[in-house]
Amino acid sequence: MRKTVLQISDLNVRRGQSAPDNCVLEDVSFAISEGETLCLVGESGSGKTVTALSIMELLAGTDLRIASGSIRLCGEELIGTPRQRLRKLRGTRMAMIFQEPMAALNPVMTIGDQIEEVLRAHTGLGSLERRDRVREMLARVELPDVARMASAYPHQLSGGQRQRAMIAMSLILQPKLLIADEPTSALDVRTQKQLLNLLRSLRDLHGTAILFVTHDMGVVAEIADRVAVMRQGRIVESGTPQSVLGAPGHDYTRKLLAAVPDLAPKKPRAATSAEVALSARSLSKTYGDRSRLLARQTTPALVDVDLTLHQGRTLGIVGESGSGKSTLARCLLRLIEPSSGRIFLGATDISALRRNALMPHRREIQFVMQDPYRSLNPRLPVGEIVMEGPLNFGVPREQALREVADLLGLVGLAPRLISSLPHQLSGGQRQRVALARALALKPCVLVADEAVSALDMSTQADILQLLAKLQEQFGLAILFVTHDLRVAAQICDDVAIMREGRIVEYGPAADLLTGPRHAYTKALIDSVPGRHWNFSASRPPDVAAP
Amino acid sequence: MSSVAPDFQNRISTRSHWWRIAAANPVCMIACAVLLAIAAVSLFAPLLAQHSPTEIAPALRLRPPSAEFLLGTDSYGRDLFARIVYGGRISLLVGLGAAAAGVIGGLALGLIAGYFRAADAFIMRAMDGIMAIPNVLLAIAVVALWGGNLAAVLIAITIPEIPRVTRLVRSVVLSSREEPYVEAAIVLGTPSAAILWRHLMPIAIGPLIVQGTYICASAILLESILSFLGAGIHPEIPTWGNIMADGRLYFQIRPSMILWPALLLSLTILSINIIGDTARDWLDPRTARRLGPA
Repeated sequence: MRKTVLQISDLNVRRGQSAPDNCVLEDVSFAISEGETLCLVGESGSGKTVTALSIMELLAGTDLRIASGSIRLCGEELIGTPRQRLRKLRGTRMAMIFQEPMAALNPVMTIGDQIEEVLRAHTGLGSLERRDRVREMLARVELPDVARMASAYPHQLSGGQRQRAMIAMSLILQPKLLIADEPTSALDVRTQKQLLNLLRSLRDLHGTAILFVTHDMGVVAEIADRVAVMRQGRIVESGTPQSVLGAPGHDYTRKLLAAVPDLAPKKPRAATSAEVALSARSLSKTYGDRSRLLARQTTPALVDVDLTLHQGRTLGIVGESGSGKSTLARCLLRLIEPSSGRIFLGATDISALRRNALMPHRREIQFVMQDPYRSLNPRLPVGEIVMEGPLNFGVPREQALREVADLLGLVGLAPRLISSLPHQLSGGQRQRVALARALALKPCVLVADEAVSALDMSTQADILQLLAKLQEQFGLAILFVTHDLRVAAQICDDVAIMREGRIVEYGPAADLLTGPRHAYTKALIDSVPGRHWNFSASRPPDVAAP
Repeated sequence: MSSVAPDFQNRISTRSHWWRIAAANPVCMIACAVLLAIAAVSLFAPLLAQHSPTEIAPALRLRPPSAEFLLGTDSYGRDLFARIVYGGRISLLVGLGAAAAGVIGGLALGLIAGYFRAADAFIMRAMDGIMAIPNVLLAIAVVALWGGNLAAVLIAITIPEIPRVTRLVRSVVLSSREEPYVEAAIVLGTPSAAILWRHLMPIAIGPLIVQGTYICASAILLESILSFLGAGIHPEIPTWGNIMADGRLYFQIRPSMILWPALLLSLTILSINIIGDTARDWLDPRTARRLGPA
């Protein structure tokens, strides 16, 4: 029998002082043993992070407070513990890592100094011993060239390396409990896979208990020993991954699982039209060649990209961050000027058109962006946002206003939302508004740059369905930029895999995802978390997850 | 549909929650009342003052307050009360005029400098040039050129403020022009002028109002500095600055000559600042949500 490290029972967290109905967490109970990973999974707003913060006793300063319940760490009650003692416990007994390591690291201190500070605060080690411990820990999180890493500043590291440094910092005092709040959500799939492996091996080495907060069912399948599904502040279901993912007992769990896009590509569709909607010929973009006097340090962001998008089809641009896929989307939209190459919108070469000549073509190619929080002007009501395009092209205001109501219906929004401001809408609703705005001009081509990446799984599934419906209805050609192979498999007819500004493999989604030829494509597919699970059928596959 | 459109128009045109937010800020209401009262007193000065603010009566100099001279008389025998209520006119006019001209000029230049990269270097170097001249020196030069009238003083006070506003607006535009919703507007075919007007200018309004209140306050003060140096509006014309400059010589025997205009000046500036602060909070949709019902 392994020792219980964390025991939470009947934890209730409320918002504000009174109002009993303002429950943020309701009767949350679970336990984690030594060397065990518990995945807390749920959509945004379900209370995952609040649970994590409650354990660290970091709710002070928010308007949330613990109303009742108990949190015991190694048998010691945390609720009501004096601050002095809590400070001692944080770091030595429990530690936390966050989604965005850049925000959690001090930008003006070297990595080594920051980790050493933990030792200085909690141990009486001498400076040489501390330095050795830091080096040892950096080596243990598998960072290359430890001496250089220790003297590097956070911005000099890649996202994955920063997260490794955070893990080193949090584990250097060998805490019994590690709380990881979406630690891999901001990382590329290949980096994510390496980090999950690292966490697993460190857990086995130190016997650390891990509370792993995530929204990604694939990650759950990769790392969890046990799973707890949260919804609206309650744990609706918990158990082993085999039982929860394999035979979910709760409707909500089933819904979450069903929303995970399948990695198996959808059935190929017959081409409906041979007409080319958008194509690029040896499109290149190089940054940093503006200054001719100083050293010419140029960064190629796009190198000789060729692609063809047919009417009514979806072309997926898949790649990791920094692969140039967003640069490609922005070049095609003429938001940034390509350095060379041609862009054809229909039969027109738009790559060299001047501002005024380009204007009439703007309405044929529209854009939906990743971040629904920033792609809408926070000061304008939905109606104004959606009708901006038609008004630009001379549609009378009255008529534009009538069309807005139709468009909102088309994207599945209630007409009364026409006067809402963006901050009054949910993420999914905002993305629907962005879609309505793009469709208001009746474009032929829709460029969607990570259009579903910022959304919850079930919202993501809804938006993908909506996109497919709209494509069918209007014969839209969609250029779908994504980092998520699962999403690409579900929506794309063709896929182009990008790496370092080049397209490394390009072909029909069905062929490319089932029989990748390029090593990089293989590595990408291999890194998709939980790819051994067939989520849509909500049952475990024949092969057990490694 | 018919039920939607009026509601929508209504929400855009009438800003009814303005009043609810104002009601939730009693301090702001008091500041408004004080400012309105001072403005009303200045406006109706001819009705309130029994004596001329400029007529010299050497026999009546430095009289203590009485029924006839409410606040007494100054060193030339002029009614202090009349001078103060008339003085408010010039001071408020200088403050408002400088704030309006500075904000409008700076806004236009800042929007252009921030959005059109070709114009940026040219405008900003010109602004740097203006900022290199000490503002009092510049004002003295302008007044020496055009004489001590109101228009000259206004121009003299406004010119050094424009670079500050320009830099502020430019920085806001620079940080917002890369916002996804600005990119979205470009893709929607929105002309540059409309992008500036609809998407970028509203962001600058919040900081501008605060800057405007600051300009208003500092213009009133700068005007009094110029008056004191003899480079401002002619000393016989009452402004709060002129009155204080006069009173400075007699501070030990008649402190009220400085006290009253200084009190009004402080109240005016404080009120303007409070109103500016409240307006800024309201204009930012994120803080407006916390302050009152949207």
